[in-house]
Amino acid sequence: MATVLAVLIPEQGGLLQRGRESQAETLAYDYAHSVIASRSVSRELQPDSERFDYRDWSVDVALEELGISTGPMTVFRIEVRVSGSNGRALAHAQGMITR
Amino acid sequence: MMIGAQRPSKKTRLAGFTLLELLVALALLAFIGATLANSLSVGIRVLNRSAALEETIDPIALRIRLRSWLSQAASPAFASSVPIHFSGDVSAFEFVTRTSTPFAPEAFGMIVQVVHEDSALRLRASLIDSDGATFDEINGLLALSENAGIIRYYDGRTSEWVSEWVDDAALPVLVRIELPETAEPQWPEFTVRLTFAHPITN
Repeated sequence: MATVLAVLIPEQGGLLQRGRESQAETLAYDYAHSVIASRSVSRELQPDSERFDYRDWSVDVALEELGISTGPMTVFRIEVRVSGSNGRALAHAQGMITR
Repeated sequence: MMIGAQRPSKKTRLAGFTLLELLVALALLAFIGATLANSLSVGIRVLNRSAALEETIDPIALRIRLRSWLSQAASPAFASSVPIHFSGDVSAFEFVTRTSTPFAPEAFGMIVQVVHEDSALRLRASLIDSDGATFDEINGLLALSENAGIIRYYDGRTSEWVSEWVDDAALPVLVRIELPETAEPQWPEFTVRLTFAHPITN
């Protein structure tokens, strides 16, 4: 019985660890959408890529100009990747914004 | 020479355990006891973590739901049988959303209030019918935070962040909620773009 418990309980601990990782991924994905929302009102949009740290995360933002033009507006594709402190990819979100 | 007085052979000795057998049994018992104690200790830790994890799931689910509701906040400019408004300051805001809710598909919409009070960021949603009457309420915790957060609003007409929104005719383009790093569960910056906001004037 002791051996069975000794095997099963750490396995449960592993499941919980995966649960915590899943929470971090959900929050990182939500944060990525916050970054996209913030950039969507920026006046100075131009094709670029940038990396910055936010709390324990590393955030990569890439802006790419699409060949779509609607009158005076230029359409950009924005891609946000969030990685954990151990380098593990947590979230990848993308959207379209205009200038 | 003695006849009939024989020494007892090994086979006829009294039943019992040798010292070695007792020591082996004790060692086995100690090993089993230690393994059990370790398993129980791990089990208790797992149980505690499991309880903590369960407590954080609902706030995160509610955060995701708030993003959806806020992005679909109804504009005061919309003609509606229900008064539509958006108002807020640094510690609370209130809006009306028409986003459908799977748990109340018959609802016309919701009046959603987010407020920081009693060291917690809370959400209250009142489900309303087409006459604007409340028929159900949802209350939930978004995060625990001793220190108050900051709520700000981005005005697309002036391209500025403001700490108060009192406009009766327009929505802010963005709403941002920030809490300190000590908030539980974690509260990374939360910024939402409101779909029906006034167009940005650049």
